Amino acid sequence: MNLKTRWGPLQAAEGAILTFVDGLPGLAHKRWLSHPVRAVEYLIAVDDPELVLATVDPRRLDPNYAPALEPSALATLGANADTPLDWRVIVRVAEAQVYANFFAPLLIHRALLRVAQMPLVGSRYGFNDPCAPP
Amino acid sequence: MLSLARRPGQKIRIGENIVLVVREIRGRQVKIGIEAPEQVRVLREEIFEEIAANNLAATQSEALPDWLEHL
Repeated sequence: MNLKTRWGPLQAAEGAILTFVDGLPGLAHKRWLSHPVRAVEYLIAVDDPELVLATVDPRRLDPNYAPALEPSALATLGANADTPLDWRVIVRVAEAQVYANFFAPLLIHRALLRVAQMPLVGSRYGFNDPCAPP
Repeated sequence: MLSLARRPGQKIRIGENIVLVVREIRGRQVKIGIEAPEQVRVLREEIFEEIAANNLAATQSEALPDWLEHL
């Protein structure tokens, strides 16, 4: 699959396309190409490659990040307690400041190519936590 | 939008598997119980809206600094 992204054409393997099983709040697009560049995993909307989200492993920003995984999260992804899952947080930059959404991380089931955004309701994590180089 | 009048203790069923129960009405606040399959996400609307706004804002991000790629 060829995608015309903001960085130019990108050849996408089918195995690199993740599906948001519950959709992604605010964005109608369900299928996103995973495009890792070192520590950043960019997600590019397959149906609109101008839409890009940057994500990182939250523990690289906050080694103490410990979201509670609810059974419903596993059920949503078709996973069980033994399934390896990856956490990612969406990051953005505004006025040169990096912010991470630790409140609503992404949980990825690589084997099934499924992903869901998991709001940590009742947690101490924020939507727009400023981040600095470790 | 469908509007249904219910009293405390009465229920509304949505599809096969989702049931809403009016648990309590106190002044201007209604307490609603929700029975839904585990994989159905239930969120307060204002939280959903805030997540949506943040996701949209993230698509408008400025370029990432180099240090993020080298974490």
